[in-house]
Amino acid sequence: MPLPSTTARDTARQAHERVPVVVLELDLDTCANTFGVSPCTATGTECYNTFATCKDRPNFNRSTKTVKFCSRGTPIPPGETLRPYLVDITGAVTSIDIEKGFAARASLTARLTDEPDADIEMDPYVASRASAAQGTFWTRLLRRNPNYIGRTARVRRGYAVTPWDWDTFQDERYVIDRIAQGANGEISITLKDPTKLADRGKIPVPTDGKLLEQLKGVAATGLVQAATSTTIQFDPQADSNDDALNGFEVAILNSTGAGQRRTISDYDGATRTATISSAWAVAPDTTSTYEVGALSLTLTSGKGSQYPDPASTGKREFIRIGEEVIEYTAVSGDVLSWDSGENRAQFGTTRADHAKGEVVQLCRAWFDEPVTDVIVDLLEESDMPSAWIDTTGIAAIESEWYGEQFHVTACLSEPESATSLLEDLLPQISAVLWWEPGAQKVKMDVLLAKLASPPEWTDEATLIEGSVAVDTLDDLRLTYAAAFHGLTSATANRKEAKYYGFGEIAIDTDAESANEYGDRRTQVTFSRWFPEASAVAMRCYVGRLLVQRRDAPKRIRAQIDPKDHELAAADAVDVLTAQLVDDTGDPIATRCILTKWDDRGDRVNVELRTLPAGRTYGYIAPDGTADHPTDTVYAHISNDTPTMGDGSAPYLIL
Amino acid sequence: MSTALPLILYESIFTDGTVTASTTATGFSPLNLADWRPYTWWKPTAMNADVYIDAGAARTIDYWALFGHDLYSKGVTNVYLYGSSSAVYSPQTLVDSFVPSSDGPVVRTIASSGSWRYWRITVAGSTAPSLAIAAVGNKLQMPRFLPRGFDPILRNPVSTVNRSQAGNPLGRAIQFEEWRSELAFTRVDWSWLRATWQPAWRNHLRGSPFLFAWDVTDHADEVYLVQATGGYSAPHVGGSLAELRFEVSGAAT
Repeated sequence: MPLPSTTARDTARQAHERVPVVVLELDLDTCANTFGVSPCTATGTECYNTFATCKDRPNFNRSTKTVKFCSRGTPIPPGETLRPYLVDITGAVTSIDIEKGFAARASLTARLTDEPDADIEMDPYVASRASAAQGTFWTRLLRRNPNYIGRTARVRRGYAVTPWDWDTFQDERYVIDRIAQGANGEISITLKDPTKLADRGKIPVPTDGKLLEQLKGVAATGLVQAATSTTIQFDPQADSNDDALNGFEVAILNSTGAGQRRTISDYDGATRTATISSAWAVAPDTTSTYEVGALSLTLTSGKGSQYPDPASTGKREFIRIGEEVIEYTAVSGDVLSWDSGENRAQFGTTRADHAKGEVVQLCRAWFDEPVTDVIVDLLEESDMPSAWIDTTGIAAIESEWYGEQFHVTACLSEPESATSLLEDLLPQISAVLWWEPGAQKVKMDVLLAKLASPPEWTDEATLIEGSVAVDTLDDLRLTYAAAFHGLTSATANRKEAKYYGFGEIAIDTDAESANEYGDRRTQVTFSRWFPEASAVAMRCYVGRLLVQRRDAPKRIRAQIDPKDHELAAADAVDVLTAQLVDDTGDPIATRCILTKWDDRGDRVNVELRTLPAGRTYGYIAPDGTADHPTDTVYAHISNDTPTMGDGSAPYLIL
Repeated sequence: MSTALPLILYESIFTDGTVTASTTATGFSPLNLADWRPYTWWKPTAMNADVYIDAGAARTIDYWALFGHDLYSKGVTNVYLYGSSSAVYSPQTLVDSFVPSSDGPVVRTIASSGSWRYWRITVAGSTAPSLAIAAVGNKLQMPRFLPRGFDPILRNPVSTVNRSQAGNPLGRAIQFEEWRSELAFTRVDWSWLRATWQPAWRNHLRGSPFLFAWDVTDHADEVYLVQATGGYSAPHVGGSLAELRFEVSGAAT
């Protein structure tokens, strides 16, 4: 998906002479009230309409004041207050990390100058001050606005044209991470992209409720002493206190009446006899064994609100106590309850006794969910606004690359950052996720193949002289890929293969042979996301790993002229340069994806990664497609040479 | 060729006086007119629009200037400068006026302004313009013409030229064009340097931007907003004369 643009922008960008301009906008907090005018009740010397200087904080009326800066030398259009303080902005807008899946957070550093400004723009009451403002623009701004972290910043990159036209600009959205004052008065502002929110957000949400009382794995068990249609008499070892088992569940484990579960409505401690809430379908007898267990737990006071009520969320909710995962079905005050003893010991965990005071941690679980839905959940639950997620694009990826085999069934029982979860999941589906500042959305793509014909960057017309460098990333080469899936317990050590029920392995023995690389490069993946049913997905995964990295990928660093800066991250491009040649030494078009760009105004620094080299991709041909090579749009099965009928290389199955 | 002595324009009743306006758009205070910053603006909300300056006491002026504006683009029909002894501008005297013919710098010299405490600039038209810098005051007229070698139209683009691996031109990115010049005035009287130049330097020129008009008569549009890039030198050349030299730079408009 190319970068967003306009006709005005394209015209300015593609002109031989252009005047690049960068505008930095900071959205700072301001008060919409006027000092001393109702509802503001402040008196005395005026504030500066910021919270830090506010004299009537209860009535602080938060609004936004945008302060704008531009590159030095910018021909500032009349009526635009653009402070020409901006020395430069450096740093990559996007840096896709194919191996991690989740892109490095865009981090830009803006360097700005300072000056003893007259304070007219920033002080709404400057005309009535007894004395002129002291200090400098930035020292005053930072003093009055200490709470700038997390506020929105925009970097607007464009071109100065006559008349001035904001349509030549492309906007990027960031959040302010840091403002530092240098020793020489220079200001350094660090901007991060909004996916930084995923670093802070924890999934599941940490909870600190504790058991108010002991929760036993099994409250009572034994042989049935006697039973009627609505009662059951327990073993003498059962609790002797009246009502001690009220609300508990009794389950008949085997023999007569096995499989039935009833809730105890009244318990007589003296006779160990329980009255059940509804009659047995088949009354148990003295050959039957039973088990009694609690159907609720009580949290320490006031903690119930941390646990979402499944009736409200519409999804199944789980908690972890010790090494056991329990599904609860209702929340009432500080009491979590469940319908059945079968809600205990979920996700392969074991029903156990839990002592008073043990922590009750909320879990996050998915059952047979499309993997892209899980990714969107992880983003949203890390406080990423839904509007910032390219759900349409992600749905298209789901449709093109995944299916039921890639459905997730998993339970997260310990809080982790959304970033680490995404970095765990994304590589297992060969996907990358990144913030696209131009589109101002989180994008997702699968970087295995790019089928559409991309633009070409050449030594002739695109690549700036002396800028092209090619690295071979031998450390990424793989010959052996293993993936374990079907985690047997949600609370087990997920870094040990013994806790997984299934494994898939792919080995490229040719690559390991003495005639080729003569070594083994191994990658082992432990997937807590995919269950037993995802064996095909896991086979795809290990197979794709070897397809991608059997031969070391190449990283190309280059500079391009702004006229060619049309591609967004993850877009494909064919590179034709003297540094990448065929066996005869002729430059060969090498398909790459753009992993990083850094627009310096006069030039754009880019970084590219080669896609699996020398292979042809295509969708599997539907019925009725003409044979190869009449049809070359779709992939066709090769003969057993193995080449296509015309002698070309066979298609690659991804 | 030059027919007017070079002017340095910095002294202004905008700097020391009280500035108000008939109307002001939010964020576009008339105080911005006085700060010598070409990126802060006054913008009225209704036309015709007035800027009022209370100089604090009656005084004369011999120039007024506007730098950074879109008067012509916005169809302003006339710009008037009035003086008055009355805070309500009644009566008032028309000191000067002009019809904008471009959005370039405007420098108007005044032979006889009259002495007034209250000054008023009226912008007539139907669409509100934006003005960055306004100055009304007494010019600093340099006592000598600029010597041979002075280049009023020099342009020094701060830029990057891009060429492809194969040597083809890809484009040129121009950050801005600078006008930079060493201003040299030969055979300047020491008494002028001490009485006029030194106070001007101390009060404004060494640290703040100013307008430099090398020939306001014949090349009125060649006016630059500049800053001194270093100090000045005035070596003695004999008798009561010295040679004044200093360097200035600014963005070429």
